[in-house]
Amino acid sequence: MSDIKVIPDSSFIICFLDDIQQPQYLIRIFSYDSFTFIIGRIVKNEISRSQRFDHIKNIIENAESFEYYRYGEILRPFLSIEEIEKGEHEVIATAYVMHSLGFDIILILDEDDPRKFVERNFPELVNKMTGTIGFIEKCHCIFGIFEKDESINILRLIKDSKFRVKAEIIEQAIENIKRC
Amino acid sequence: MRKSCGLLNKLEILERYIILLLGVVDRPIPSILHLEKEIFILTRVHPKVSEYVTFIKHYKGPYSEVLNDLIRNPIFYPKAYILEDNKIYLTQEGKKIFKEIVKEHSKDEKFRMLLAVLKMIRELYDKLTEEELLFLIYLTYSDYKEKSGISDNLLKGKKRREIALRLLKKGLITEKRYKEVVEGYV
Repeated sequence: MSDIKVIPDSSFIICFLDDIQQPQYLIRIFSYDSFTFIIGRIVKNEISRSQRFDHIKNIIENAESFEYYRYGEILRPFLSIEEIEKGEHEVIATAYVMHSLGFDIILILDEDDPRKFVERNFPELVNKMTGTIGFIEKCHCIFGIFEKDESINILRLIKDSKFRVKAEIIEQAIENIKRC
Repeated sequence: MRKSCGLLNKLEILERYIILLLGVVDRPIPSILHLEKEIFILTRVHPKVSEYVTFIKHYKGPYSEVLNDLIRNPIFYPKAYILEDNKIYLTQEGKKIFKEIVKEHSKDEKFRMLLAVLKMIRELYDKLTEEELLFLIYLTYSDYKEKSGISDNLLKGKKRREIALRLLKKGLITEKRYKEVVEGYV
């Protein structure tokens, strides 16, 4: 499989570090051969506050960052201060630029508002966009990173954690994983 | 684009940025104000562009006299773009120059990223009316309100809510941004 640039928001990484406290799963995802993770400056700063950041520090430092341009500045006027502080603008703009350059990308975005913003303004990114739950489903069904039982276990841990997601989205993903 | 910058005059480089901004999307830039603010946003994304253009506080937000002069009277590429009914069009000659610049730097990844950045700026900011554009600029870069004669009118009372709601309905600001702008304002 060819190289895929994965551009996650901070909640994806925080989910594994703090919400379910299972950084080893994140390390496996990051180590998958076909993925190159792009972690921007703000997202990096956000996740570095986690007490478990040391588990993934080396991996994050090796991730691409593309800091030559401050892509997120394009979107600063359109998003809230809270969204800016979480780096949502940086994630969307980086995904747009990488997609424009012809790279195969996966944009992981969990918050509803920024997702709607992408849908309204950058329709070309919609089928490249997924949430943490959808991405875990892909990790089993498309990429084979996790075994069926493992991925279902991760989703159940997420369901019982403080990660904000509707229970029915998790149930649907579990059903999809059982069938694929 | 910077590799050959040593040989180019600063104004020529700035004209090239204008040509690139015009060329990345096949439609005119809606107004001089749009072009000016789109280049301003570019300086925020890529601060090195500030070596070629400086924005000052002015009655309509960030303003550059040099940029305004070059939009009306280009020096190095006099036939590259025209101003008509306040819109800025890339001419056939301008399209050729655009293609030449792109070809010249086609192997430079940073240049290709720059083109994507410019395209993203055009795709979003072109959708704004002049009023919406100034509204968002004043909200985001509040320093530039200082010498403005119109920021109070845009940012206060009923007008503030009206523009914010219009932007929300157009899908150009997020719900959280809308709430922040409207509810955070007393």
